[in-house]
Amino acid sequence: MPVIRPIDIWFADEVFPHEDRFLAAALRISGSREEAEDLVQEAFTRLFTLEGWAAIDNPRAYVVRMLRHIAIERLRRQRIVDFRQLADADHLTLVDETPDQHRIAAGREGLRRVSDLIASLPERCRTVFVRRRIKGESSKAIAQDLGISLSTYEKRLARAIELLSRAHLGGETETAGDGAETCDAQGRR
Amino acid sequence: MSIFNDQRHIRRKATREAAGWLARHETGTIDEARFEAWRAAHPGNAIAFARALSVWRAAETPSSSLPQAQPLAAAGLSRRRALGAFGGMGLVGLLAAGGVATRAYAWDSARSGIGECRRLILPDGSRAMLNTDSLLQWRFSDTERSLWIARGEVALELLPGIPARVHGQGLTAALSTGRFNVRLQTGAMDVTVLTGRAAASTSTSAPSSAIGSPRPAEVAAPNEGLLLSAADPSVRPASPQHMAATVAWQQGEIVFDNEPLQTAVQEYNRYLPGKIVIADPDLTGIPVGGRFTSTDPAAFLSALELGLDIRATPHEGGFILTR
Repeated sequence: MPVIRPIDIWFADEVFPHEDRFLAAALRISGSREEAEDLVQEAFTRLFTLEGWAAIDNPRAYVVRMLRHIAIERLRRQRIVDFRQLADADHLTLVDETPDQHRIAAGREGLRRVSDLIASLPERCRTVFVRRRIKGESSKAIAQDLGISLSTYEKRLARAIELLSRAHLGGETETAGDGAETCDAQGRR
Repeated sequence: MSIFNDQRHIRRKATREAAGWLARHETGTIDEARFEAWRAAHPGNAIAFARALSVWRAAETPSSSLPQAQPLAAAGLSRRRALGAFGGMGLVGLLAAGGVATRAYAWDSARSGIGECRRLILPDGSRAMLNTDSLLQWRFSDTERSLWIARGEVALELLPGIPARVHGQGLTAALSTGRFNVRLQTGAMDVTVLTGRAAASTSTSAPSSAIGSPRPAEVAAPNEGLLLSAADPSVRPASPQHMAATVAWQQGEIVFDNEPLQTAVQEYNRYLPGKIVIADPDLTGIPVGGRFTSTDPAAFLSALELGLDIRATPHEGGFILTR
């Protein structure tokens, strides 16, 4: 199996870009942010094991529907029927374009643009990320040019990707954020 | 709620590990067997890896089939990479029969969709940022940096260098080093100067002469706007509010400063695939103001409802405004 499979690319391009909307939809039908994240994670889990993923016409609408099914499933299993929750689930529209009060109230920005986040990476991480991803230089050339080992380069790149992944959704730590967010976690050069 | 905290911790760990695997893949040092074992160990791992891939792919990008390129030299980018940097965006303008890769004067372009904002680096290291629904084309020769705004609005950050000209709707402005916002209107091109200078220019005149000489009427300085149209070019001062509104889009925001609702809606619709329509003609002139998220009209529509008793009814992906 290749490292990057077709389903990974499909997820990366068609599903994750809408993650903020999925969370917003999940927030409307669940009690807390943690539950909402859990709901979305469950949807993604099921999606990954779905055989017919390639045939899905509108992945975003599909996931929103899935969230509703899972939420109802869980409510039934709990045998605690909160009518308000069920009613909200019913009103989940297929294409989630309606104004989202939860999102406004929570002050969510939605997905931050990755290109904007890159600028706030710690400098060493940003350098390797930009040279590799944006300018397309070879890893060996970058490491050589910077005078670092390939292993150090790889760790900085990993750190950049990690920070971007976490900051992408918003509401999480900023890329430059909380004290521990240095580029080289163990202070290595 | 310790279960959820554990979940968060597990997800964070998966995010970190996934980033490590993707980095190893990019470095060429990945152990595929161990990676597969990791990915299969937990569904969260597969998800985390796809997420890492998602941010990787979302970064402004050269095509993945690019051959290994040389490091960016200060003087400029190799033609091949300048072209490859926006592979798939299409080349417009003059192309020699001899082939694109060797052509010294071929055009590059970049496009943004509705509601999309795109940042790019131009061949000399200058930056451009495309606002919603915009199309920028450029051609950097040894003697001139030529930019063409075919559609929409572009922010430019020009490094010092050879003369730069921006064209739009058959109009041309010469730009110095500095930061500018260039917007196409119907039959006009509006250049707002943040730093530097902008001057009206014809396609044939030397741009530097207008910038260097004592200021004739059509040179715009910082916090001024140069409006080019079929009429004479005009320079007018921009208020702080106007400047704020001009750059707001770069932060994903839209600012209205006591404008008729119709103008505000037209402006908003630039960013929205599903348009807002004013059904009741009496509403068009109502003045509105405020700062809103450009790609999501929810707060704006809420404000209309709460403040002005205007109802927004969802319709075909957009909204209809009525009393």
